[in-house]
Amino acid sequence: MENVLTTTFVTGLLASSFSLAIPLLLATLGEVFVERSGLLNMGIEGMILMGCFVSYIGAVYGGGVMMGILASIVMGVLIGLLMALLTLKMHANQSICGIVFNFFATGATGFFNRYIMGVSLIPTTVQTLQPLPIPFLSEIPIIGFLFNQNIMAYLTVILVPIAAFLLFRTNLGLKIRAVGGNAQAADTMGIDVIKIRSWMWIVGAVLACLAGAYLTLTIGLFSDGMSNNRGFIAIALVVFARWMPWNALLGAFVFGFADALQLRLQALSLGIPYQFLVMLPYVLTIIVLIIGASSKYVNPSVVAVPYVREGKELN
Amino acid sequence: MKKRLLIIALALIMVLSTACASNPAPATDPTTAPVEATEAPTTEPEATAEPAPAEEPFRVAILLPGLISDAGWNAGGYYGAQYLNENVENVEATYIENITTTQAEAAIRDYADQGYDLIVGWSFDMGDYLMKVAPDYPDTKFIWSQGYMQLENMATISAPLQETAYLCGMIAAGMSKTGVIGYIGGMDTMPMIAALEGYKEGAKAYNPDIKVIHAFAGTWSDTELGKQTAIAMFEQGVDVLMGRGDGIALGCFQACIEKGVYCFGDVSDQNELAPELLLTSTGWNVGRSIELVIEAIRAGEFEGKAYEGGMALGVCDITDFHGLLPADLEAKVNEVREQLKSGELVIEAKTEISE
Repeated sequence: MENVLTTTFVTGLLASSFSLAIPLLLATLGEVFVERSGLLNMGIEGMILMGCFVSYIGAVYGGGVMMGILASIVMGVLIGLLMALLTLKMHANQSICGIVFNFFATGATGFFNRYIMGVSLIPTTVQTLQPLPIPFLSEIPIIGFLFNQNIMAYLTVILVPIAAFLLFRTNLGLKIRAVGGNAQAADTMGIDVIKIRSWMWIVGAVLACLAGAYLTLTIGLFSDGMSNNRGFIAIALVVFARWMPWNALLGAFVFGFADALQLRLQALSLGIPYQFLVMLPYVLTIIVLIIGASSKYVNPSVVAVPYVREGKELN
Repeated sequence: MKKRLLIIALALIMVLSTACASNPAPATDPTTAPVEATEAPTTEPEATAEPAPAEEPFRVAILLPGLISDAGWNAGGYYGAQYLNENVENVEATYIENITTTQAEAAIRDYADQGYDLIVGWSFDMGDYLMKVAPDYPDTKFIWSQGYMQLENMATISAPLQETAYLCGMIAAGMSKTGVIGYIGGMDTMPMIAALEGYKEGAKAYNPDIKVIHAFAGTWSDTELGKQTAIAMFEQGVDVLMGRGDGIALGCFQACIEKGVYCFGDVSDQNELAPELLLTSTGWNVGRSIELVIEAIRAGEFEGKAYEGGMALGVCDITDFHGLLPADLEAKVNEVREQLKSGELVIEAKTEISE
């Protein structure tokens, strides 16, 4: 146990939690916007995977991380538009569209990866995101790692207050929440429900794709199925976060912490079966959801309910 | 109505593209394997004249659990099929990807019904389904890769991964300055455990005081998790790391590159991923493993037994050291390598993790 309370252990644990939390946080923030406007994005896992893949291809052919990030943003916009078209214009079931998109992404990324990159025993690697240490601050013991991150990690953390401000302190945020709270009332007040929700699809998809880009660009290569169900964790984290950006930051960090901790417990060779440790973050998620379910927070009341103006026929 | 049609059309496109990735027909594969598969047997007989042109080719189907683009396990199976097509006379090998446990039984039956001579389940997970299907097709031969049970018409093959891992363990112990070396696996399947134990044994043989720590990621695909697992190991003082298993191994490489830690490649010489750090790679010629069974079948000597094929039979070996090892260590490793090749030294495959 004396290995546990060393500075290296604690610093490493926190730094690793943070790295594991960033992609989750990006995806969760996107889902917060989506659900705040009364939508449900079940396809977030597929979107992360698409982000992983296009950022890889972007970085391979565009020659750098910036092209990778740009490619994932473009892909996010396209996916957002597709989802808006399917669910808002054609009133297809949101959950089903999302689930189908997950299958689609698994197939499409696998297929195009093979088609473009071919089969090789040595994967093509791309440049990775480099840490940008902030002078002095990054020297602080234990929490110094917070100031020795790459550009995407900094921006993701800055995105939290921006998202909170946008949702709760601006007119646009009020509109988004109104659309998610009572679409009909919002429509009566002259808010364009479909337009707001279309934008939220795009925001959600872009952030999910950026989460994928983060995964790819910290490793430098694409591997089939590398998103490994982070999208579903993000959906759970939104509920845990009670649709609040600051709580999303906390939730993502807690989940990352559980994962980082179990890896370290394995490395300490304590003789605990590894399956038990691997399970920890997920058990934590379920516990957190049970606690969250009993709270009296105001939820968006119409998540996944399509909005149709009175007098208009469905389909 | 129009909208409905559009929805249906879009849904169809999505379903089709999903199907593409796991398309059973190798003809859609962009690589050249299928072309060679059909050409090799027709051009060969003229040169050798031994098998008559009318003789039916020996048809082999290899069922892979994942995608061949994983630069690991499945890629190994794919190159195995390539090897059989190119190097073994009158053999026609095909492969199918992404066979999960839910599809395994149907896929195995399908190939058996199509009259394939040899069906290879290239995954430990496929054992239950092979055991179930094989008795229904007594004329077909089956191989369960990494399996531990046999039937009259089903053999098992395993590459003694512990042999190459043993050599890597020696190298790791020789290169480590901290006296702590690490091993990361995807999941605790039998090949992973055999390799881990071989690695430990080799390390202890070189330096009895070496400490070997290990971890499993619980998944094969999560590169980021692989990287973080590796970083957790470095904090424990690990300065030589063996990471195994598809995406997990790829994540480990990245961590090793960032922190300047020595590592090992797998399946083929992967040195160019980290030219200064990748000490050597463990190789397994899957095609050669299957060829040994085909030879037995052709000679009429097939038995439902475990076909071993270690370094002594040219199935496994480690690749070049790229000048990264000090001369005395290299000499020592090569000496043991020769002992393994001659069969003088045998490393048992362990099935349980020791303390």
